[in-house]
Amino acid sequence: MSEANPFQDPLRFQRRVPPCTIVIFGANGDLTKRKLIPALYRLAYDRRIPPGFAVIGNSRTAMTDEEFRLKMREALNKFVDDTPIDENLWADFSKSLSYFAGDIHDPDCFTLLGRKLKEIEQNRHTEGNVLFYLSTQPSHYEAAIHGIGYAKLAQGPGWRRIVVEKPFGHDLKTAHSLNEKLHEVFAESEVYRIDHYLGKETVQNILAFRFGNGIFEPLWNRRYINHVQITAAESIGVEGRGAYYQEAGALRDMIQNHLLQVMSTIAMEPPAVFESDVVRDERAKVLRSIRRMKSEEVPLFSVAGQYGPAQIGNGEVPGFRQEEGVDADSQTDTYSAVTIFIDNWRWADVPFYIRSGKRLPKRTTDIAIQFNAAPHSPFADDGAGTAPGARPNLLIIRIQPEEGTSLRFLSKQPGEGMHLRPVSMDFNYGTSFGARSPSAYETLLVDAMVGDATLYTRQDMVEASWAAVQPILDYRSHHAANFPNYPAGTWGPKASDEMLARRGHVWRVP
Amino acid sequence: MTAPVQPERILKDLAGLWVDLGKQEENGVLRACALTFIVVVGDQPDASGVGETIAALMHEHPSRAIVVRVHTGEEPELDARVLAQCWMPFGRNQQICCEQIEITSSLGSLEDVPAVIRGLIVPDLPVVLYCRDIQLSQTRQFQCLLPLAGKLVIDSAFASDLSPIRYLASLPSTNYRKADLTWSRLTRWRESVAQIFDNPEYLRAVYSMEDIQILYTGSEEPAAVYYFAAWFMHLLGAGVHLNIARGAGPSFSSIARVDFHGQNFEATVEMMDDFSVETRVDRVRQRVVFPELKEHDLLRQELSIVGRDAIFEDVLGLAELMWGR
Repeated sequence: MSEANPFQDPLRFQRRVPPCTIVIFGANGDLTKRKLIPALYRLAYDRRIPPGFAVIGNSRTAMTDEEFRLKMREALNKFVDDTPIDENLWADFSKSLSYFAGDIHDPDCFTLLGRKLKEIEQNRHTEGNVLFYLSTQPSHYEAAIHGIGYAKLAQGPGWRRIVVEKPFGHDLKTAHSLNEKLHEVFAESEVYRIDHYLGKETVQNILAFRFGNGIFEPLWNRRYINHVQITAAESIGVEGRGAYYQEAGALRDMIQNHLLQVMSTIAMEPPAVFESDVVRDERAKVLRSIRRMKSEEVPLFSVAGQYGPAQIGNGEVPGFRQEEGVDADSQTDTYSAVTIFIDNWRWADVPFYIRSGKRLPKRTTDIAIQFNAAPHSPFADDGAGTAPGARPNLLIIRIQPEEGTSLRFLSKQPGEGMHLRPVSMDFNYGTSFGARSPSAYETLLVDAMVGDATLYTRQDMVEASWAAVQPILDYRSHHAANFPNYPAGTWGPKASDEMLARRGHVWRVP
Repeated sequence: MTAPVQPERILKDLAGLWVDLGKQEENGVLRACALTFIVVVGDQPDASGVGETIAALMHEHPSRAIVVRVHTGEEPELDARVLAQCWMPFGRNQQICCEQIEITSSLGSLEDVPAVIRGLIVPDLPVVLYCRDIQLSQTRQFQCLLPLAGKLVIDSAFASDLSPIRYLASLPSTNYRKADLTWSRLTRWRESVAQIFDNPEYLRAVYSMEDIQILYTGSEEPAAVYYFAAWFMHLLGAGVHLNIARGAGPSFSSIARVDFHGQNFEATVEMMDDFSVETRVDRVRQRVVFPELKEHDLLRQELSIVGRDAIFEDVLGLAELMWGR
């Protein structure tokens, strides 16, 4: 076991990055420019990057180190808005960036990478620690993993880890196959499957909210909770990513990964300790407890939608099939809603409604926990929501854009008589803790470098979530939908409302 | 003659203030409070800056702020008024407001103030007492405010000698959590030092360290130097030779540089002119930003620490011993 740093002061110091090299495959891509380099720069600004640190970028584009640095600098100017660009800091930080062009299908590319890593290890004292980051097209993952294995780069004097961006496969079979490929080269404990939703402060706060307070957990079960709604709505369309999105769709792109992970955080049992595998075990148990749909149940428990053209404001918005790169008869779901049941003691028969869509009226992600109504109201029904069940208590956990929590309850309206009206008790993350929240990528990158996988998904979690949606994917692959079925700028297809209405529920308007 | 200052009267004024604020704003206002923050201000020239500090703090640590302005003189004088500090978060349509109570007192009347404050403390939330005036904090009259709070914060950086360290060390840790903003200023220096030894190769050199030299700026040894040296002694024991000397460096920093010397190991952390610090170890240089720290940055750090700071308490005891030698 390595010795602890005696100078550490966990009460006051932020977590710091240990000496290491990050190798980014796909370094010329959007993710590197928009998320990874800005997150690393912010960490450097916060003094969390050590002297022994380096980034090696790789892609097929020919570029010198200097050209790569210039590109990353441009990206910083464009994508960093809450951190000052300090010239001296950048001059220093940019020295840690280097680049080499190479095709990851070519084994020589990895031989060269091996040499570069050795060189950096000697010059920058990175202790041989390496984090590989797959930021390429998913179709190149296997080649990159194979190359790392071929050049024996997954072993070395320090730790070796790999971060994999979603999608982790296209369905259960391909996810399983990707996991097998990863395990040929890396142990599961070295694989970090990134789900940036889990890195969001509010998603982490769900754990604090549930397990740090004594008052909510006794209510957190089928006796008191009527149902749960999870909404991830985007107002934009595919924004030039039509070709990619056409292969994915809302179910694969959002529900299978992000939203099922969020749901598992809401539904998991309390972990005994806040340790990576203990927390992930609890999440995995929830995902494994999801009731599998039979083929004939799929139309009752799920809805697919695709937006059509519409007039919004004073502008024409194209339908999905009119977007660039999208087939004129595309069957891709730009909206998906599912009803999920978790077959365990805590949640039996409590529906979890999950929906995600593009071109909805606003951008918002939240979780609404609707409690059972009071069994009897002693107050007369004045038509303003005082009848039993008319205004059940609602706990809203907002993930974006405004992170926070609200509790809706009834209160007496001031004045004559006993008239009740719903009021909201708000906790707003930004206003209660005015400090800047770290971006999900800052949190997750530090986690991967310090070896904390709590907020990363594990093989069994990925496969369990694919298994949960696989019957829907199978059904849809055999049944063509009548698309488009909702105009852009609305809350999705009518069938989605009907899915809830069958159980006497309605979608909340977020 | 002014009317007697009664907590009930102040609370009533506060209630009225909230009603008025609610009427002025179409969407009402959101009252935020996470602690009672008592700030004692003396006659120092920047006494008016306390309002700005409280306003900056309220985003992260919304509080009922009780500002006690103490004037020199023994003539009885006690007065109070209430106000609110509000801000509109970006993209929201509802203001967030915090209460502020200003109590004016002569030094002679300061002993009457706890009876007023006791009725104004927000129940069930932490109480932090911050004395902005280092001389005032050591007066007999100020001591009567101590039992009101769970944490006392001072700033020894502006003292003419190191007596604030002795004063803070003399307070029983069982009764108060103690903090000194001079120690808060050292956090990023300590972080930079710790970062060097995150590298296992250098960590091995820690226990064979021979000398640590701390260079300071200015003509007198600042309190920060004692804390820094005491921290090293606390962690490494008396086997390491600690050398404190005057050195050259930018005047805005009390610490100019720290050098580490051991068998086959040399490292330096040095303050540069442009609010950055350079770490040099094994031919690798790294610059990190050390932006100017404002009073609210330091207080933010202290208000974030809810429990005991065991490291600081140990260092404080050692710093006092070192000064006494």
